Amino acid sequence: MPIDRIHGCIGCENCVKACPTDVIRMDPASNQAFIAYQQDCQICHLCRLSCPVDAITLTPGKAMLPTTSWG
Amino acid sequence: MAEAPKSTYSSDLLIIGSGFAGTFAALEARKNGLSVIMVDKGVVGWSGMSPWASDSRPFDAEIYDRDEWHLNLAMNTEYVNDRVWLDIFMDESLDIFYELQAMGAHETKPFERGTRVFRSELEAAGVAFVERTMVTSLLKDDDGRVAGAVGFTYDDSREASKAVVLNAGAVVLCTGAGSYKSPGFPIWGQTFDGDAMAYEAGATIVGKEFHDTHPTFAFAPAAAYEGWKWAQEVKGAYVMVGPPNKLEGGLTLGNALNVYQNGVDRRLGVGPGGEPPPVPGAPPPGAEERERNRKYLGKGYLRTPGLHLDMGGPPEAPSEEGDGEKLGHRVGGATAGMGVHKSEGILSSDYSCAADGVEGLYAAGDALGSMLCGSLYPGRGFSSYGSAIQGRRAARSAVNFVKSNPPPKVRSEKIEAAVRNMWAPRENAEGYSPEWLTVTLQNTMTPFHVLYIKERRRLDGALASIEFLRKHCVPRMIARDGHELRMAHEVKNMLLNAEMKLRAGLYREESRGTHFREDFPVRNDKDWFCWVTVQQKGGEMNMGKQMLPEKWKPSSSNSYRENYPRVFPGEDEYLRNQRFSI
Ligand SMILES: Cc1cc2nc3c(=O)[nH]c(=O)nc-3n(C[C@H](O)[C@H](O)[C@H](O)COP(=O)(O)OP(=O)(O)OC[C@H]3O[C@@H](n4cnc5c(N)ncnc54)[C@H](O)[C@@H]3O)c2cc1C
Ligand code: SF4
Ligand code: SF4
Repeated sequence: MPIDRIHGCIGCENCVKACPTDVIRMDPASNQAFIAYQQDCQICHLCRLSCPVDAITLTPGKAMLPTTSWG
Repeated sequence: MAEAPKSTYSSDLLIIGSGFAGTFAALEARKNGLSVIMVDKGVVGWSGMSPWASDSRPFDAEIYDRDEWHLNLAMNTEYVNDRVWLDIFMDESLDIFYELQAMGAHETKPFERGTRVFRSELEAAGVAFVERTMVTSLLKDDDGRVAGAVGFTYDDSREASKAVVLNAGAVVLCTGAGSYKSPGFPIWGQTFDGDAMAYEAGATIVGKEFHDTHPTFAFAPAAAYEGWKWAQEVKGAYVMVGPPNKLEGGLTLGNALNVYQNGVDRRLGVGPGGEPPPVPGAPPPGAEERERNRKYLGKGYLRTPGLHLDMGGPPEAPSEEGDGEKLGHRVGGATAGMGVHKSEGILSSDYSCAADGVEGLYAAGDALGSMLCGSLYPGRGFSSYGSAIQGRRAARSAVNFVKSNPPPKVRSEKIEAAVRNMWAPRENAEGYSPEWLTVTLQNTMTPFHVLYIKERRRLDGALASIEFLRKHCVPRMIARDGHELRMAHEVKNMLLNAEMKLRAGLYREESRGTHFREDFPVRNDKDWFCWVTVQQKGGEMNMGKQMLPEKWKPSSSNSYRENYPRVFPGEDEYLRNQRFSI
């Protein structure tokens, strides 16, 4: 898995700005960051490095998307 | 669909991208009094490859020998490097070092340099930011002069995506490089967008037949951060001591050739690594080089306090215990699709950074095809400073242009057409998802026997697939939200790049540096002492040769093997058969 979990977010938006591939978004209702497009995570850790409260967990593995004939 | 919201901005100069190139371009343009808008797909300070650069190798005339640098770099990059750009690099890289020092950039970790230093310098200089906006095409006036760009905001979590129209007196593309979003390198935010926009506008592109060959890890190939944390966790500037090497230290085709000759280990799913196993009792790799470089210590700018001095040899890798064991050995292919740093991209034949044949368009950094590093990256330290130098240079040229020409005007129908084109995937109710297209592109292009180990029929086969994807699927892409719309434009640009890479690979009927053709496994200076150019003419992709000066050729008093010590598989046999004289 790439970015795995966001836990204990205080809503500063740093990770949303840091993510080069638009994986993380802010939930307008809770004003917390959430993982919106996990499949596009490049495991660069910039989100984690930018988080003031160390709320983001990442793992180095990545499930490859299955190739299908169409979709 | 109801008319989408639109924001319009105007400035003297539009800079697309905010890494080393964009930052130095913007600061220079502000110094010269132009109003500057910097637009970025991500956020200024965070995005691009710039948060990753650590090593630099500024040239200091006090301690280094200019001719030695020329000779070594030419040999390592197999003679198709641009020597004028190298002179410019040698003239200006030390200025960049001191400028970065004055800004405080030598006191940060690499990933903090953008947010803590570049961003505040840009803000203080009065550069306006338009962020999280993906630019999709350039705007031209009726005389064919580039006069701005259009893009869109993709983050639709709080408000709907909107079109962004950026009018400007000139545009500098500092959009970086690209890859096919291959696992193991933090470059997925860049997808050759600058090349694609410039190509559509009529510019010439070079360097596509050559490859970057950065490695990743066998057991966790997607773990991009792990390969670089040694630098990201330490503050301070890394400086390479000594001149670039003649042979060692380059990003060669070694990994791919290793897989080609020794097979793929199916248990790992990936090929064996490029690093040979250590010989018991032998000195560690790079020991000789490190010894040789001791003589520069304590001289010139190397006296600057607080520098991390890199004495050469292979870059630091994770230790064998701990990470090393978990992640496995190094395997190639992490950057599949990316060309050689500082070589692939938009051509500016007159060194002004103006795109050949397109008025009002400039390029710098990884977006510029400067061929500074020829057919392979000759070791660390050229790329980020090269981007800074070129950014500043592009801005100087653009400032002159903007000051001596009245502001251009783009007809509103042209803007509307560009915006319609941009939204097109949102209008298709059914079709191909950009995600599927991306995976299909990866599966078509990235196997080693297509991208790296080339042969005419295999290249033709891949080309037929890529052409089909471009012609049939791209116009039928769907995008259900802002994120998918970004993905759609990104894969469109990656597919264009794939076609360029295949055609350039087919066109160059020789082998050199990181370009290996099984069917032409030998360097051929007679016919191929050139760069391969790609240009759009009448809707077709046209290939061409830009011949290089005779005086850049390797010395005719040396033997072939003295000039080209690296041996391609099948090369000696081919030479023995003397199919042609070289
Ligand atoms: C892991 C790693 C290690 C490296 N190590 C070194 C090193 O040790 N030494 C060295 O010199 N170099 C190194 N490099 C290379 C160096 O980082 C780059 O060559 C350099 O940073 C490129 O700067 P740039 O400004 O040209 O492009 P980038 O920094 O890549 O900036 C491109 C910018 O353009 C923006 N952009 C792209 N497309 C669009 C679009 N369509 N619309 C709007 N904006 C767009 C991007 O968001 C980004 O901000 C390394 C690179 C990586 C990835
Ligand atoms: S690891 Fe990188 S790509 Fe993944 S979510 Fe974090 S910032 Fe984004
Ligand atoms: S950086 Fe941390 S605290 Fe800030 S929004 Fe992201 S997860 Fe929340």
